[in-house]
Amino acid sequence: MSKRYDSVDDFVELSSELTGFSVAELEGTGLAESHFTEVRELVGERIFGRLLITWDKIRNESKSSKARQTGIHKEIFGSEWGDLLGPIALNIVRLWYLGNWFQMPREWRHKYGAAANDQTRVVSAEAYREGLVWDAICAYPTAAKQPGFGSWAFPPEDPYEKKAATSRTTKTRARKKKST
Amino acid sequence: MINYEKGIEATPEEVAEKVSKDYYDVIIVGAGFAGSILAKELGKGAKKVLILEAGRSTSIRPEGYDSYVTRFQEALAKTPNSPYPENPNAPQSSVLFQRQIQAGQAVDNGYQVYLGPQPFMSTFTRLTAGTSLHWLGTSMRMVPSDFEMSKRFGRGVNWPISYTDLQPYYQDAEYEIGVSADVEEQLRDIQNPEDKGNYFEKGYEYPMHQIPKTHLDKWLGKKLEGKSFEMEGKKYPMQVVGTPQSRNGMPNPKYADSPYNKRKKRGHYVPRGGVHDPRMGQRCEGNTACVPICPVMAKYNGLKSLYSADPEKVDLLTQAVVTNIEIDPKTQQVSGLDYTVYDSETSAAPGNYQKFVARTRKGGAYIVAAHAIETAKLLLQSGTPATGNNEKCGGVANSSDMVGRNLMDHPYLLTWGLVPRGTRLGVLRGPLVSSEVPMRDGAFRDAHAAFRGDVRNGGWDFAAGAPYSNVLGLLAPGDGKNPVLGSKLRRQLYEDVQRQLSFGFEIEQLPDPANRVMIREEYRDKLGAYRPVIRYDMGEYSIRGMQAAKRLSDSILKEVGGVDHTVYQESDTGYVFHYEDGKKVGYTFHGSGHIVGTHRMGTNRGDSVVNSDQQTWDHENLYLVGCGNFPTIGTSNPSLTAAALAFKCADHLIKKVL
Ligand SMILES: Cc1cc2nc3c(=O)[nH]c(=O)nc-3n(C[C@H](O)[C@H](O)[C@H](O)COP(=O)(O)OP(=O)(O)OC[C@H]3O[C@@H](n4cnc5c(N)ncnc54)[C@H](O)[C@@H]3O)c2cc1C
Ligand code: SF4
Repeated sequence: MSKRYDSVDDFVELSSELTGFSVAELEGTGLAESHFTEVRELVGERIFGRLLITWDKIRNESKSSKARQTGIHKEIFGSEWGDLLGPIALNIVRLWYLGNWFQMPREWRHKYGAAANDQTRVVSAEAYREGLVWDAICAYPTAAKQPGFGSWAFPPEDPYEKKAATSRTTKTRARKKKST
Repeated sequence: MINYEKGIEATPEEVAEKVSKDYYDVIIVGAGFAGSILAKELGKGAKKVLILEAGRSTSIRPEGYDSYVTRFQEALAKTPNSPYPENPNAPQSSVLFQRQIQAGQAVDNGYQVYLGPQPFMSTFTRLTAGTSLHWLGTSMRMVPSDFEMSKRFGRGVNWPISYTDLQPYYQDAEYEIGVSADVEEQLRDIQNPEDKGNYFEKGYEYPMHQIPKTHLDKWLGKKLEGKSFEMEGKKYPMQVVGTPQSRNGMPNPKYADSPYNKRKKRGHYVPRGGVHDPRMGQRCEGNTACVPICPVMAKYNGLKSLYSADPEKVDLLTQAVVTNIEIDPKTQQVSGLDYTVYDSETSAAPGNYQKFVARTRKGGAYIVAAHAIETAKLLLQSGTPATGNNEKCGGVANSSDMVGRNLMDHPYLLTWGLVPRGTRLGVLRGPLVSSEVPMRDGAFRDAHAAFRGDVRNGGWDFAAGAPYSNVLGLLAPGDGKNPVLGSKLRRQLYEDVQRQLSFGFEIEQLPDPANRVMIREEYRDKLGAYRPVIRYDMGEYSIRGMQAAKRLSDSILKEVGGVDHTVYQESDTGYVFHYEDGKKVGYTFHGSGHIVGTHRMGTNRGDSVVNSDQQTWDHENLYLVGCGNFPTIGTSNPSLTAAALAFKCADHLIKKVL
């Protein structure tokens, strides 16, 4: 039996590589399923399948995240399929980050057709609230997820440095353990 | 909690019946910022009050209010009016219809018609609670010199009242709309020692402590410590001062013992949370959404006054558009208000309209508080409408020909730059504005406009659409290829946005009779009421203020080691220019929503529409309340002062008239 390339898992894995958010973080938004359906319906099953097949190839051929990134740039944006798949991949990132669908570029629409629903819009209030951009910049969406009185008086957290800091503390602790 | 079912809402039939029995002492047009406060105060003074409100009542109900929040989240263009649906029976202005104006060609595709030379960039809302739903909540008092612009600086006009006259009412207003601020910080930018000494009553405290400054405010404050800025040969400190805000903070325990509070026989101040659920919004939670809607109502809005108005005394009728003020030709007194009630299903359909007349009892009073632009428009369209292109007066209360004139706003000048790599400013957290760099007062005001620089907590949000523009920019870099993706994208966004510094300068504007709201026969709305037609220009005094503000922004960026990225282009809507050392230099202004001047207060009937009691010179029982009464604008956001004037008017009516 041939593998089917239309699973939400494949979509989320690709999304993870495109957005820089882990699969768990993406699942945590509760939007994996609806974003999947949204994109599939907007670009059509056949084209969507093509994107996921390409992703499967990249995944199988790359051992590291770096290799996967190179693969994405080469296979999705740079190959003969570039003008078909590139704009979709970008729109997937925009969808996750902003909760907005942006109408596909005119050229794309002319060549590959487009769903009636292919209009620039906020896909839902939830998609807006769960937009990844707010997490990425360590803020929170305007009019939602308020962080509480006075929280703004402190320096913003730096999630990127924090990772380094935690691993440092773990190390220190480990070292301390040794010495006792 | 007050149950809104038993609240102040009335039906057209109930109102008609009470009118037929000469029941009402006062009728107020508009349940907005000023109208809500007036109604509550007059009700407290045992007066029977009717408010006629053009907009829908949606905001009164919890589901309705929440639907506005959701609508905002779903809106693609998150403009100030995006939570509030269009209502063809009570249309409102929108920033989406502002355009550059080509000579002689009016821009008329929105509700407001712009004649130019500049578009008028500010907007307002028509629904229950009015523009107080989407205001920002910045609430500083005006400074004493603002009341004497002509006397002290030879510019503009003086007010018929002084700061001292208004001072007690400022205290009332600060209680009613709940202001969080610090007395000492508010004195910092007042230049004249005598003004400083009399600014606050001895022992006065704000009801709540200043809202904690953001990390950005504190960072900037430290960087600017001890630095100064020169204007017209005199040095002024560059300082970061906390902005007074009508949003809930920590109650100030000293407030209870302030002489004002003791006189009022009130105890400790208790912040007023959401009207639908008072447990919510007891403190500002940092939604950064104050404009256009605070999801938890930590920010004041008119609903708070409406909900605490006495339901036995105050009636509110919504979807009731006042279209004409009737004047008795013999007595020159108002004899009634014509209003149209539309049904709720009439967005596109022809609609079902009922026409009524509202009258007070004999000896009662009529107050128009429909917003600076709508109040002027209602006066102009009443009686014999003043629609002519000639300069002849018409309308009501207009013997001075000042109705609609002297329209002012704070042109809002944005500047933006990047601070050094690696700096983390904490952008997009907390209220949109919590501090400012003020240049509000000083001898330079004879030469150019005073101004205040909001330190924008939203980074380049207003200036460049951050953080959306950052995401889009990294995905589609200049070469069209090689989008930044994955963890690089995530990290780059953080680095870029955290470095965004932006100021928004509220620039003073002088009264100019040529800047005005008019009506024209050809411009009507669905109800047949006139649409506001606006002629607006900037003036050298303000442009020179912009020049100084931009120079201040440059000096600040220099102090913090940042780089300016501000660009003003001739194609921008709101682009104005002048010559600096023979060179053409341009600035782009936006609107602040601070619409004032259109029915100004004065000392004589020749040059003003109302006297210092806010009573029209022409019609004894007609009062106008709101920012339209301001003779000059100063640099303070106007609503606190409008609220103080509303208290003054209520006081006058209760003690002397009704
Ligand atoms: C984006 C934005 C931000 C702002 N931020 C601040 C700020 O931080 N600080 C500040 O001080 N000010 C701010 N303002 C200004 C502030 O909102 C206004 O000054 C204030 O709301 C004016 O009060 P008002 O009662 O005169 O008018 P409104 O609050 O607009 O109320 C007028 C009411 O009259 C009703 N009405 C109109 N026409 C009729 C009619 N014909 N018949 C019956 N009813 C009618 C309207 O529906 C409305 O409810 C801001 C404004 C905007 C747009
Ligand atoms: S920051 Fe948020 S909680 Fe605070 S007043 Fe503004 S919208 Fe309300």
